[in-house]
Amino acid sequence: MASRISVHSEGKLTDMKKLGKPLLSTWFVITLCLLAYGLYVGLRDSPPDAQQGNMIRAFYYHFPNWIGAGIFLPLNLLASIAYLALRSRNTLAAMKADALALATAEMGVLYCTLGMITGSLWGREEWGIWWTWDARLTTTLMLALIYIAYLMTRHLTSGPSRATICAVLAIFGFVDMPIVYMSTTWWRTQHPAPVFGGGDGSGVAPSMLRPTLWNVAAWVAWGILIVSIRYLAEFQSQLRQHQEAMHLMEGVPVKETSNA
Amino acid sequence: MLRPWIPYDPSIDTPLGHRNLVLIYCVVWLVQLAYATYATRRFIVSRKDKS
Repeated sequence: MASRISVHSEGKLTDMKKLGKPLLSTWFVITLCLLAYGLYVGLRDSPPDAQQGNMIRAFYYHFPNWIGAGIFLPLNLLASIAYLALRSRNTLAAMKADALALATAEMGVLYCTLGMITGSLWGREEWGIWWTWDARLTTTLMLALIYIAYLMTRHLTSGPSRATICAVLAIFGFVDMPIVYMSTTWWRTQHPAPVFGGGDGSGVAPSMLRPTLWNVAAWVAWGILIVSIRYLAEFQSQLRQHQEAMHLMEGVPVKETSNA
Repeated sequence: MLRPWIPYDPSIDTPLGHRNLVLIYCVVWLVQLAYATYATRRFIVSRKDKS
């Protein structure tokens, strides 16, 4: 990890920053429009359900959270694998992968937590209970706790091996993700089967499809926006730390470092 | 604030369901905005530290 980042790489970074600002601003405007339209379609432009009444609108804000977790937690896995593969070969790329792993893990945990909170509020009305220890809910809680442990490890520890330990933890933590998805198939659960790809009878009514898809698009766009901001912050911070460390190493005479 | 925006029909909805629906929309927005504020602050701090 102690290799110097070249002047060529720093030049490329400046170019990326110049390109990134208008891209981020455009994405911000698109996201706000999507969120506003998603809110309008979900609350005003869709009919109530025959069985659940207006409570069905909970689905438009519950389901996108799980799609968000289903996108950002696998991205965390990929970034963690990339970090482990690159850490001894390309410092800058490894740093980027590590920053992306942190940003996606935070967003994944946020979506996971919101999915559980919204599910609980919805479940209280439809099932009469806030929570039940069925396989889907229990494995989901475990998933959230695993990634909270990952984030705590990242924030409470320091040193050169921190990123490696966290990357390994992320890979093992991800094992719970397919178990969460398959839990409704493998065990009898209170929670219904997945809405999409859940076998015969899965899917939503045509009147619900439009608000569902718009809100999924809106919250995924929001997730990408916030992950980009968090990634840039973390990457800049790591880059500065790395440059300071390199500066110190170059400034200290070799004799003094070997004595210390 | 969001309460009048969320549709409520007493013939098909319960007061508890309506309250929970309002809470769902409020909690999602509040938590997401709080995290967005945190992410933006970290971004601003990282830029300040650099300069």
